[in-house]
Amino acid sequence: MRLLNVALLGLFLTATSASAAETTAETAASDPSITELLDAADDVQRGDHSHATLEMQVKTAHYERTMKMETWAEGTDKTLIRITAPAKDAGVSTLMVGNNIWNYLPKVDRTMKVPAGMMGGSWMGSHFTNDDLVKESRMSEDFDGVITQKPAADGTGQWLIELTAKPDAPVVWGKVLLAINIDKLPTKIEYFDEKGTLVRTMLFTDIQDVQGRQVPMTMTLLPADKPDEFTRLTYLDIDFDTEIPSNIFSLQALKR
Amino acid sequence: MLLAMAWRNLQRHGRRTFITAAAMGISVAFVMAMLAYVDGMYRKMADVMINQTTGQLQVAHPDFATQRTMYDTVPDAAARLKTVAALPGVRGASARLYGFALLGGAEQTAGAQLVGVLPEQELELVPMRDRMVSGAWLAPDQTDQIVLGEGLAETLEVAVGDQVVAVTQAADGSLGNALYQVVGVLTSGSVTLDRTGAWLRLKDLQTLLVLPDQAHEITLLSDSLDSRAGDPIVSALVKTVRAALPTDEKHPLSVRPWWVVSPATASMLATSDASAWLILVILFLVAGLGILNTMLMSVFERTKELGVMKALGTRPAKIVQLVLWESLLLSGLACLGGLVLGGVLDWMLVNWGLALTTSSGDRLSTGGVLFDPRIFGVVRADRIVVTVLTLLCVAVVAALWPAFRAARLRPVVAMRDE
Repeated sequence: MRLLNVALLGLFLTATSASAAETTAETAASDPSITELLDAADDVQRGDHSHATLEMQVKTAHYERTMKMETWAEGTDKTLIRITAPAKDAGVSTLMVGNNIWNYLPKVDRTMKVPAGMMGGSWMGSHFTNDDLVKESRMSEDFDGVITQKPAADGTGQWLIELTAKPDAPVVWGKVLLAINIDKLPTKIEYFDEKGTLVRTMLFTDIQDVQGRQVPMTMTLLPADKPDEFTRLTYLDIDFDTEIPSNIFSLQALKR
Repeated sequence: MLLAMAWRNLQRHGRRTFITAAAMGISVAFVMAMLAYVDGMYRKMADVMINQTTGQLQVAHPDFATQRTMYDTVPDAAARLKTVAALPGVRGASARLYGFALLGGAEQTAGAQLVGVLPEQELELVPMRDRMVSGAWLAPDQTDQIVLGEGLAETLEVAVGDQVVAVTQAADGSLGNALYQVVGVLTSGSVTLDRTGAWLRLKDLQTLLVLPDQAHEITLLSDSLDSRAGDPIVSALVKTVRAALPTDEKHPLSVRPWWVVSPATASMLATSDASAWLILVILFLVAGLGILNTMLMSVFERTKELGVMKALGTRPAKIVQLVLWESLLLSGLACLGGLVLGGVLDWMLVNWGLALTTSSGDRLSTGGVLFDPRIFGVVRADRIVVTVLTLLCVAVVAALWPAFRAARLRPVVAMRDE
């Protein structure tokens, strides 16, 4: 699961409103399998195009700042992010293709590829790492899941799924607790390390209908060891219908 | 009277006396030279590891040494530096700011440990100009210059005249980035720092990291040449600096001597005395056996003569004294000769140095610290006094057995000896 992509690409938007509605009606009749649930949260909207503006609020012990950014995404592995505010960072752009990240720095007019050793570093001063932006893993392949709770027959409550990393899976988490609502949208994900200590919590809130899809407009990351800190991403505008020229995901276009 | 007799006895076997004295003298000379060399090596290590790295004492945020977080700084660094630099007993003072950044040349990128320095003051602590492989040290009045460690320049594939980009997360969370001109490439004296270190003006790094007028360390040198933990000159200066820098709760500051900042350095340098003792022990074991042999032979030869002395009423204590005086005179002579020869060797070591190069021509590296292979001797009066005293003690101890043996002779039996 590419964490930030979850927000930036609307990865979890993939349960379309139509199917979501059907699911709601059918919940009591036929329970979806755990793989279905995970894939729904993980996977499906490949081929989707999106163009969005976002606000990112970061609060740490040392600073609190709000940035605005514009994003373009195609499928799951091509994303371009351009910072538009504040003025000091405006124009800084991040291009992600596959597992590679390049940053364009307008002040010095240079493009730099983030080297492997820096992938664990913070992205734009947030609690997200560069790895979070691009690391791809599929929950249903890398984890063993157990459904620990199901929604009630009257449609209240939600799915709770406990995921344990498979022994040789290339993931940093030992355990993941997933809360998925009746529309198959994740509402809360808790990440634990191999020792079982909570590392961070992601909250998905403010679910709205956008062009016929259910979209959580806000995603909040809470690092467990720093209770006063958070990074919050909020969609200001999101559009799934725009045509995105494919050459936008190139190093030449990055400098634009 | 006894002294004259002892002297005459030594003269009776001139050649034996000379050979024993020569062996002991040469031992003394070589012990002196080796101690001067070892002390020279440790002085050099101390210079690299203390003076040029931590300074002899440091003013810093109390947590910086252990946590090394960017935010643990000394605020109003310029004013505080000015205050401490003017204190009596401060030989050199500089402020440093550290930061991690991604550096990029035309093609390659690498992580780098940035060190923000005051170009002129830094020279009081570290002879940067001697370390330049190419180009020059930072100019105090030029902005956006950078000097790279040799290994880092190689990784980035840049040379003097090229530009590098630095990208880092600044203190305010923004993406700090700047373009610097490479003005020099140096070899720092530390293997790690050569691979990752980059030096730029304190002000430029403060701008990049958004830490205005802040530093992580104010590094100081005292008048002390000592490299032992607990050095009184440094300890006294620590107190002076503490008194001169009032701290408040919002901006805690610690003033620490180098052995507290870097205990590893202290324990490494403490082996200097241990190796000196080892040299003394080995060489004087040899000298002691020589004396024992000479004195035993001399007593055996004179069994008849000593028997006559006892028969004439010489008290055993006198005979013990006689043998001990012979031994002391012998080693005294050896010491005199040894001091002269050792003095010459020390003079050569101090003035010319001794270069031990590896076969590949690389520089020596001990514990990650690179050395210029030419070591200049350091002569310490205490080392010479200890050497001479040890030899004289060995002379007395080694002669005790032959002396008591002589004193216990029974005159009737001894006089019959052939």
